[in-house]
Amino acid sequence: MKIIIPIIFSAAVILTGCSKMIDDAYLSPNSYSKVEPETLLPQIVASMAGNYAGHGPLNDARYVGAYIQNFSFYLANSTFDAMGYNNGVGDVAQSTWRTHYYDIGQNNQRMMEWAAEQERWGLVGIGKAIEAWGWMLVADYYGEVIVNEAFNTSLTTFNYDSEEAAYDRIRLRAFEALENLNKATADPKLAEADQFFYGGDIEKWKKFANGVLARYYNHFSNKASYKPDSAIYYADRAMTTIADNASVKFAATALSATNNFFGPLRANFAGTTTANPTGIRQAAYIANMLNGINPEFAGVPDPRAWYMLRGNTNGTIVGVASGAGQAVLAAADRPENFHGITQNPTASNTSPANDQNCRFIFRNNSPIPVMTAAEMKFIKAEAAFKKGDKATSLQAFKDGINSHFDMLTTVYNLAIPAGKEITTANRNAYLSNPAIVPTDPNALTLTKIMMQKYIAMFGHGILETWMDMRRYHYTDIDPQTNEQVYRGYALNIRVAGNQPWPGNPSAFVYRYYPRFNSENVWNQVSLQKIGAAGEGSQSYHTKTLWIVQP
Amino acid sequence: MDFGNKVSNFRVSGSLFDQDGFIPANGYKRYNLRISNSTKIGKYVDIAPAFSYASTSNNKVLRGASGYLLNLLTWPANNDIRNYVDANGLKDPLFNANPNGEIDNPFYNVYKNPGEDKTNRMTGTLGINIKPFEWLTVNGRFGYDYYRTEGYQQYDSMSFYTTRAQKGVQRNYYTNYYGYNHTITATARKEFGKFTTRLLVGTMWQDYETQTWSINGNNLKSASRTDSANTDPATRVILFNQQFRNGEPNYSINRQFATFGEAMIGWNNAIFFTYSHRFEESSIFPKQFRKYNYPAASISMILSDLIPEIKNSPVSYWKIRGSLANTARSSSPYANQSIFLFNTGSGGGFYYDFTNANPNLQPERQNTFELGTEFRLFKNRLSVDATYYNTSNKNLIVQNFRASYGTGFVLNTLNVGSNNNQGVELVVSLDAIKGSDFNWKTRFNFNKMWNEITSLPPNVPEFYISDTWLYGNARGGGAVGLPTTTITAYGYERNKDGKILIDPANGLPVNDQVFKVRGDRNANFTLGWVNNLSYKNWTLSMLWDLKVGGDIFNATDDYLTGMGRSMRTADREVPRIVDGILKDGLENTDNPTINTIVVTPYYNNAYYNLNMPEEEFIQKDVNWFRLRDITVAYQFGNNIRPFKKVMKSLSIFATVTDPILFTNYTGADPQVNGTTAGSRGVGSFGFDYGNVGMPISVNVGLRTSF
Repeated sequence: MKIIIPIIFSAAVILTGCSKMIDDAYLSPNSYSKVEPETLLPQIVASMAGNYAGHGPLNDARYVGAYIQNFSFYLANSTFDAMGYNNGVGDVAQSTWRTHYYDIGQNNQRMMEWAAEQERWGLVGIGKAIEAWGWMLVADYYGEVIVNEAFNTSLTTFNYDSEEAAYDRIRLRAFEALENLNKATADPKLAEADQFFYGGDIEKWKKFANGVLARYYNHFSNKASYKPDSAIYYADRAMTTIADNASVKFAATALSATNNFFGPLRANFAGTTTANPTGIRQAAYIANMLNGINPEFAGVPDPRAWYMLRGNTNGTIVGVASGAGQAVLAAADRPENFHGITQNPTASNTSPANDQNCRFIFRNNSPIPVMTAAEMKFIKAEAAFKKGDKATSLQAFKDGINSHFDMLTTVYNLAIPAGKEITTANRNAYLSNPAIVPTDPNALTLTKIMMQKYIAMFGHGILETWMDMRRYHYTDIDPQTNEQVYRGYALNIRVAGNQPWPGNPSAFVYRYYPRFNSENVWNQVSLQKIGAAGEGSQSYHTKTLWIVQP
Repeated sequence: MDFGNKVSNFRVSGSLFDQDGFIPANGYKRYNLRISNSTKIGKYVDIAPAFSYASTSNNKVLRGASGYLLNLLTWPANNDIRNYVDANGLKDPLFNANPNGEIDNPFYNVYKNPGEDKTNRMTGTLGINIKPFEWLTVNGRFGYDYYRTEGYQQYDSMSFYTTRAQKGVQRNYYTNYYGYNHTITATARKEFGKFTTRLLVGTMWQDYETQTWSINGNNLKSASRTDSANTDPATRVILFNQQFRNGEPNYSINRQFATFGEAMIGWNNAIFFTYSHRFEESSIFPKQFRKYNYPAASISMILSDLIPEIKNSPVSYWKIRGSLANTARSSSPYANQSIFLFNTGSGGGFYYDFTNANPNLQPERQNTFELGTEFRLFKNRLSVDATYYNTSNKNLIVQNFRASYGTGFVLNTLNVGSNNNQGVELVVSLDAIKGSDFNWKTRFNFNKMWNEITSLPPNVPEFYISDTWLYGNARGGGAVGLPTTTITAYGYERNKDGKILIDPANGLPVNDQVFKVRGDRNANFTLGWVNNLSYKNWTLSMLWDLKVGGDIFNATDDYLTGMGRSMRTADREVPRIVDGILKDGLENTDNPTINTIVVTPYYNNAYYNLNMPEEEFIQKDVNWFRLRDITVAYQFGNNIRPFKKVMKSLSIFATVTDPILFTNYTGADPQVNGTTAGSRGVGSFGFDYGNVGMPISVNVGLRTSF
């Protein structure tokens, strides 16, 4: 027994010692497998515009911008000007999928998990608000998406859920965001981690979460369950001034990853094929709203035009008609590209693209708005209008236009040609023009609200404007005026060879195909169940979204 | 050398081994020293410490894909291959003005692209046996192992494997290994009448750490230097642990603790039943999956003892046995930890890398059951041992496969696959001739195996072992319901009757550019045949080896065909019509158009390249019958042995390995493995790319003991 007792004793010592040594050896000493949660935030917020790898809403906005005619391809007969699509190995216009599921995806899940372990409820709330925003991003872009099985790291195939399930998830996460943000305590490390978005200001993040809810309730406008009061309630609690505007900012160092996706350094406007068209110009539709050609703005040039768009060698604002290509314009009428390079072969070219010559959201360090006070005002204007409260609607409508003016003159007052600046005089003249801003609330129309919102969202709000236009089925008639809500919007639906786009000879685009290299290749069976692959799937993109149906 | 006394015994041994390969610049040296001791302390305790040191150095040449053999086979026959450098010792290209643009002369390849590995290894072991009571023994085995390998691989500035801008490439690396383990067991034995019992309990601890570091640089200062300062500092890239960038190596640490027990009960020395259970705790898994356990049981019965009547027949011994075992296998360390990369965008911080290294990863499980029987006949002159085994592997860890981004990642490492492996082994031994002077013993070893992939992730239509993808579009791929040893490759497009389809535009076969199963590497069976003959002091032993069936992808031939150096291309100037059906829309009707388009490969090299798919180079049913080795030995008898006082025995022997090979294989040697035997899974046997045939070697020696 003399020997057995020491053996048992040493066994007990070994047992506890070994467990500790085993635990010490678990985590990889070679790479970071656990980090402080707030260090995940910079990449997450960058993905709300365009991250280090160029993924985020701005990436796909280049293509969707053609659907809504913010943008036109410089060559004629482009796939996207014709509301076509590209669903292949190039993953064209499918960045949104990656943004939500991968770039924000697990990074955000982990940030929230580890922040909750540290009881940093502010950071948890920020994560929830971003997740809510992300669910809206994918639901509005794709319709049916993976919701219930998303972020399950043990699955190999994923079932799609209804769009309604995704919408429920938006609301759930937004409420959770507010709940967490409301119990936030001081978090000294947040300011630096959040320096390129809200600087760690929890009050502003609450406005952001409220903004997601305002959008959420506003999107139901075609449904019987539409609650305009809810949209107004949350819009009032969201951004009210341009200081509240949610935007992604950039360090804009020599390293391209720190620069704005739309800026000249990253050079994302150079695609030269019609199927992958990123050689983009301002579309005639937006240009004509700002230069007074659109009948809704007949003869009223907008002082904001030179802040948002590019001139030409004639010194005028002209856009490229959707699908027509710039070559049909006289050389001196062709607009410069967004980086200021003239398209007139006889003019001396300012290339290479010079950041100093760029303006608006097209500079290397331009902040990219994700959600603005102006948008919230227009949501309120639309909801109040539909509710029948025209006075409230008119006030919100004016506030929206003003907020957009404020943003342009404060944040984007760079590289504006001499004599084209917004002045108090021309701003007041525009706002007091009854053709633009009626004085009688009963003279306000849906067209006015939606087209001013369209202008205020130009460039950065493309995906949300797409939702607006889909809610009005692009060409819905305003019964009050018997005009299209989006007046002057017309689709040049012909593609190469004057053939209608194969999938949608007469239908508009309502959604996009889930990312090819994620879903078509590796989740094909589920994709076939929703009709986005296989037999008959070539018109999947014209299938109306649930949210815009009655 | 042994010395010592009754209580303590020492043994010292040393060896020196120096071999130059049959390839120039290829060699291997080893020095070895070992000291061991065994000491009895008191009445109950024995200790046996041992220490050994080994130093090896291996001068390596490039093999396989960038090896000398493919260079040699490609080299023009009308050029004197020995003139591999010009008068200044520089590469002398045959055609290309840029020496980097032309493949290396094989001599140039082996002399100018040197590599070396030097390893120093020290091991220390300690065994302690304590026997406090007659029925109890306690054994402890403690082992410590350390080695360091330092090496380099240099590529000459004019070599085909570097570019002109690189001016030579050199990689230096080291690996340090520290391993400690101990196993302590206590065994109790007791007999109760006809019952024998044994109970064993034990504990095991292991702590293995590997450190790997490597640096790669260009712009060599000198072709004769091999230290890591030989490269331009600006071009140096540290290949490991780039993330922390602190110059430290990559670590791989694996610690495991186990306790186990085994109980055996036997009856009358004829029936034995054993049950064991092992509990493990591994550092590879997170806390919630870290502890796992597995059982095993076996039973054996010696029927000839239980039923004595059996011994009245020619059967002198008959035993049957069966066992069931369950084991767990862990992944490599850190495979379950997704890692963060630096965010290069504004604000810095981190983001997840592409791979979902699933934190819920669990050990792979293996279930095996085995049935066997052994019997001896005719006074033990004929014995037969037959075994059937069936192994199911579940929860197989598949690394870095793609799936929907629904996981939140792009690539995934998950427990997803399973497979089944079954086989029969049969050993028949026969003392054919048993005389006073002449004896002949022979043994047959029959082996047949079949296996199947039983599950894969539902979204992965073809799973392949990346180590096997060496050349072109053929690899060791498989799918559910198929063996794990199949070859998937591009092939010919065929019509409904299996006829090859021909492109009406050029008369060449249309390729089916999809990885489909087009071969199986698994042999139908293998048979080993051992013969030992002795006549007085002479002995002759031979090992013959027969393999029937099993396909080989001859990538070497594929490569050489493209180069115009395969015998396939000898008749390239002869016009021919490829036997097939035109792909003109009628190919699947009852009246397809027979191909009549004449092709002369000499004027259309697509015949050998683009339009000749890998399927063409998969040779079906490769057989071999080979003499592995043959040894003749002579043992000096007591009466003629010199130095009788000093030497206890003396013999001389001669061994020849691989002297005879009969095969239908068209390549060099059908026993091929595209990588090393250590590759994961079933490995890459059956992939022949730049493989060298087994050399015939002759060994003559003298064996003595003092």
